[in-house]
Amino acid sequence: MKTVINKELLFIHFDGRTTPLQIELVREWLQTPEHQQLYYQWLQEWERQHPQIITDADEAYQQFLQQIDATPQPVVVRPIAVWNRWKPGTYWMAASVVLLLLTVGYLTQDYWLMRTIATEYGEIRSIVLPDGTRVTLNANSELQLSRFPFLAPSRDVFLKGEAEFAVVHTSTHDPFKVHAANDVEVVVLGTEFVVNARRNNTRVELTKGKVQLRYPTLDQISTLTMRPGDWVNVSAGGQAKRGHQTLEPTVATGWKNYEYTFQRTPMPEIADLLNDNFGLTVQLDSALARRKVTGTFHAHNADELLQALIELFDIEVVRDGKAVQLKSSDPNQIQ
Amino acid sequence: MGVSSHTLQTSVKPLAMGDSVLADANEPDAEYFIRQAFATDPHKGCELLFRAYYRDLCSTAIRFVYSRQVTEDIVGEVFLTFWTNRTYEKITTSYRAYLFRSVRNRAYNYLKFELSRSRPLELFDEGNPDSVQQPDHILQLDELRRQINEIIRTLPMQAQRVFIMSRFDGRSHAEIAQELQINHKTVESHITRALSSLRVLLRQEFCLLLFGYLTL
Repeated sequence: MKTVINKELLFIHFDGRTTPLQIELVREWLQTPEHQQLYYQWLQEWERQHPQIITDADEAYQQFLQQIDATPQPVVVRPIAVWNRWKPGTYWMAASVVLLLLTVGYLTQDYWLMRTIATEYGEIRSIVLPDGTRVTLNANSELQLSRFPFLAPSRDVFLKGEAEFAVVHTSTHDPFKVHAANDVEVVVLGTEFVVNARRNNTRVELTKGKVQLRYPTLDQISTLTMRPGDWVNVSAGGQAKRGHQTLEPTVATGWKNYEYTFQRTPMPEIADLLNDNFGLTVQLDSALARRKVTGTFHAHNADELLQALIELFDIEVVRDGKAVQLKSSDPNQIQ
Repeated sequence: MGVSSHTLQTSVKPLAMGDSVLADANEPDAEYFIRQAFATDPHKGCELLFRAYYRDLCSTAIRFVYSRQVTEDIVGEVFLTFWTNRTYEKITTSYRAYLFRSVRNRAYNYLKFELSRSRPLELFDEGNPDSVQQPDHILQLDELRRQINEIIRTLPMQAQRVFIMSRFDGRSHAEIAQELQINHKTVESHITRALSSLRVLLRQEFCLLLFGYLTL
């Protein structure tokens, strides 16, 4: 193959000293898949000759081992070859009974292996797990954890709804894992964060420390490391959105003190919140649905929050048990 | 090479292609043993791979993100994804290309996220390790890296030091102020200014990209 591209030229390119014409040559050369392989091979050689950072591969590898311990690879179930060697007969009977028991046990394991802690609408509860981790459950939320922490020393919990976690670091660096909606996993060593797993959506906000998020996408499991102030939202189908907020950390956990902070929050989101936390079904008219709310409200129950909204906007309320209809009194009013 | 590539085909089939490429370049196949290890014991293969490339991958990533912590996270994430998805079973070209490509993509993505505060995460093509990249994309990253380097290199001496102490070493503003015997405010303004020129650079980068799409 005739080409002017060689290692020397690419090294010049990596140094940032190629001319525009040379870059064009590289572009053409890169059209060939084999050349892309070569490109990365030379990139590595160049990096090797010009290292930018002193790293400790041993320590990093130890950390990596800890992480892969926390994330088992998806298990491929293979047919067990041993069965072939067994003679048919009584063994079969015994085996099927055992299998049946195991299957029933396996299918119902959520029931007998797991303890469930749930909060009612409007109820906020703080619990301390056996390992010392403090969990504050928001209203209408459910946390499942192992009944026998001594049998399986894993620190795995399953969350529906919203909760704040203050995870205790153990001396053996056991990872703590929160399983939320859409198969999202939050893996932590010791830190503070909020998980909201409602409406087919998981939102994680990190206040302190570092967590790793794992979520399934189309054909693989994606991994993401979060730093303080970051939030990540994973919706169904593995669509993730990441952001960083400079707001005070108390905003994400305001609900612990019955405080609700909105920042240009659309009214439909507040309607969802009333539904999630207090079980109210809220209907908005089209004018209200376009409104956005900013401010911090103190409310112990749905009525207080509704009252605050009524004072903010000119709203008419029609209430029938758990169903609430909100109408703006003056639909032409612009704010 | 003929004989060894023949035996290779029987034991670790997918490698015939990468092998021939490397033969073209008159290079011994450096990944041969790693592939062998993956075929027998993935744990061992991963360890070899980690030790062979970890440092160079970090070096590549840090040219983009300029932070030790973030770099280590990114390289760690790439290896973890590689492991949990058993990507090593799917790669028929080279692990090296896959790893470097993923690290560069993630570093770029991190910068975009960090400097624009909130954006959807793009799905990496990590799940499809053998796909061929757009040459434009590779060159775009080269150019971005060159410009980042240029921006930081041309900062005034003190600003450069402050920026690197804060970002690279992750030290607090107070610590830096004390060590360099300068005002806390000065530290802050150095960092803000450096970050904002990076932000401007990335914004131009996006515009270029957008422009490219529009004219195509």
